[in-house]
Amino acid sequence: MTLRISGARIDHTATGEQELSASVGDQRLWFRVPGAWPTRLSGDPFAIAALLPAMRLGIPLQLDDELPVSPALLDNLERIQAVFRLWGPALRQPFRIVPVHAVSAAPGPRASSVVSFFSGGIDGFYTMLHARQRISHGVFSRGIDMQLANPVWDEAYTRNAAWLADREVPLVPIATNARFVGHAFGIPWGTYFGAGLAAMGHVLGAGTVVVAAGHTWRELWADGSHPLTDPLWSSDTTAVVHHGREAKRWQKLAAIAAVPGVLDVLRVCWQDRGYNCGECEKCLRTMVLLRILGLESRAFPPLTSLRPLAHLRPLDRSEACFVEEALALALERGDTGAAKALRASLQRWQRHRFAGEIKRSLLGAFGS
Amino acid sequence: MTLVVRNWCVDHQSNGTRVSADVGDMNVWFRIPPGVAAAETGDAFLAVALIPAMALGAGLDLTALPPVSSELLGRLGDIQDIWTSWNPLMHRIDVRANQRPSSAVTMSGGAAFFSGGVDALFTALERRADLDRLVFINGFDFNMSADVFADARARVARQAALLGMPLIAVETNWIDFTRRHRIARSTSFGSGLASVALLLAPERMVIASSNTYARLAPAGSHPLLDPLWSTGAMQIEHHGCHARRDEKLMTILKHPEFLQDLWVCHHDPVKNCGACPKCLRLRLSLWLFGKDRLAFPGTSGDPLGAWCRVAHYRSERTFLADLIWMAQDCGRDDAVRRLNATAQRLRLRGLGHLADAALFGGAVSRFRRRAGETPDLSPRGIGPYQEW
Repeated sequence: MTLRISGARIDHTATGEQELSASVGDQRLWFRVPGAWPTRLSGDPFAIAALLPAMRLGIPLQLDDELPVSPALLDNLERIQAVFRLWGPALRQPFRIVPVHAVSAAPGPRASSVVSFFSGGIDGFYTMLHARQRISHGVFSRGIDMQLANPVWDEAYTRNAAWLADREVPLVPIATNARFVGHAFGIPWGTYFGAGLAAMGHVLGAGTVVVAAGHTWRELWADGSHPLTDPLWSSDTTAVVHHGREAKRWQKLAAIAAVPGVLDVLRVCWQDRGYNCGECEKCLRTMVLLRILGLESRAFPPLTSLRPLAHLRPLDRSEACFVEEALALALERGDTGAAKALRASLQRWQRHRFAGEIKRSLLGAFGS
Repeated sequence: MTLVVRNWCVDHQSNGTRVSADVGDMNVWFRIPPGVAAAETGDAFLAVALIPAMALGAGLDLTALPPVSSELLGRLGDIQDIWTSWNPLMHRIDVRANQRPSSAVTMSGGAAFFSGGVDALFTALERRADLDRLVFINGFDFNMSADVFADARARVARQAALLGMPLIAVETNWIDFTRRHRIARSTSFGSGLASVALLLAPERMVIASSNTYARLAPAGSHPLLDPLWSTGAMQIEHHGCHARRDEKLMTILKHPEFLQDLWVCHHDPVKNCGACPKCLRLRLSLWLFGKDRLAFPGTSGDPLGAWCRVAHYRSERTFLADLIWMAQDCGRDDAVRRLNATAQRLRLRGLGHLADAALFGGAVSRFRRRAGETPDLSPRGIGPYQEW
């Protein structure tokens, strides 16, 4: 039994986009890029997208001969498997090492383009402004940064594109169902997103793909996007780099706020309820950071009460980490109101952790 | 304040070449064997001095030294980003040095640091095909007298001979220098190894990992840090994170001829004492495979009980999961049960800290810190990780 990638083709949609697609087992994975974008069928993005599903299933990954894969990527896929195998328990995924069978691609030219994913969020802005490389294109993804059917997509795209146009950086729209394909194989987006972003970068044929970090060097736990694994999605023609671990979220916000127009474009919400809903965890922690830093953004509703923040329980240590950083900043800046709310939120997480540990201790389980 | 490195000196003597420089007010030296060339660059002393300078918050001036690799200088920002993120007691500093692109290496091929322990032996066995020599250091883990060093070197040389590789023995006072600056070895050992690598400058230098990808906590030697010490001509690799401890031992056990000289000890640089936590862990690991007598002849008692008594040490409890894997691999259900019971006991001990955070908002920990019960610095100096 194998996870076979087959039936690859390029179609043109009714809206003039190019759709690159292939079957990954019984799932049809597709990517849609602008009609004029230079594309070619390659096994690289599909191998990247299918690796973790194959590892989860514990079966070999087999690409049809018409989908050759870069030799450098084939080497890297071995290395990346070594990492995810050991991350499996932490990610609650039964990842196993699997063989990858594919025809080696002939060497090809490497494009000069440097792309970075840009949804108007803090990390994307920071990387766009501070990456070591001069970024030639922003990439705004539908189905990843925003849901496929989100009616706010056009507004977000227009605002992002206008801000980037002032810097002579075009914004390339891309759509994909990669997130749903990952879910179909039982892999949550938090584990899959590094591969998903890398696959999109390869579909675009970029010379370099710059992935904005969501955490600092202190937070090195197993994660879908990581300074260890992102570069391993590189091929002979597309390099994937990880950027931005040197700064905490609030430091990034303070840095980008100094650039004209950023705060009015800033969008962090994933709830598909308006540009920034002002109620979800991402909105609330951004709004409280704006308050502590003494910044104002017309892209967010006003923060009229800290009570919703105090009642928010971080869902995982990633979210808890952001609350801790914000709390430290609030204490440093003497914002006692924000500190009180953040401390209450953090304590909800710590109670949740404590309850979980009590349960594990009673059950005698180890290693969760 | 500036930490100045000056008076770089290469002195060819009958017993080897001594390369030294004054780093601040202390002379730091390396002695390499006759017939081995030293790279005539400032790179090694950059690696020696960077961490202490960051701890001091002092600028670093290497302009009195030969040029430093421009590729290495270009990565100092990343090295400093990582360290300042891990520990707020570290500061970003300016580094002044003459620079030039790296030229040819001083020795072709690959080399690996080798102390004769589990990690180093696993790396040497797995990378046997592309390694040409092994490097052993006096003044890194231990400051050994001439006699003790001779015995330790003989032990390592026996293993090197079995591997079919020559052994390069390097001596240095590096550990004295870092102790003087109150830098814990767990913080500086990566840059210490890098300094020797930069001095010898092979094409590839391999550093064996002590941890796996599942344990990427801040440490002086780390898969993210070690490669950053590379130059344009020499690549430093961090190897072994892909294998758990049980997997490394299973590789080693296919070569039982190495077990007699397999060494891990915290206390004795020549042979395993059998009593320190590392020795107890190795003995337990080998006992699970039924091979402990080869490495610990003449020992008696319950190896599992002995290690479980030290399992709560911070250095040991991270290996508990690996030991459970090992016991499962070996079909030792009795050991699995006892190790799981130890895990349970440690979990209950850890509940106190979680209870403080959950129920009292961390008030007990804060009180203890103010009362000085939990000092900011470890007794051995600045550790790799510090709570903000």
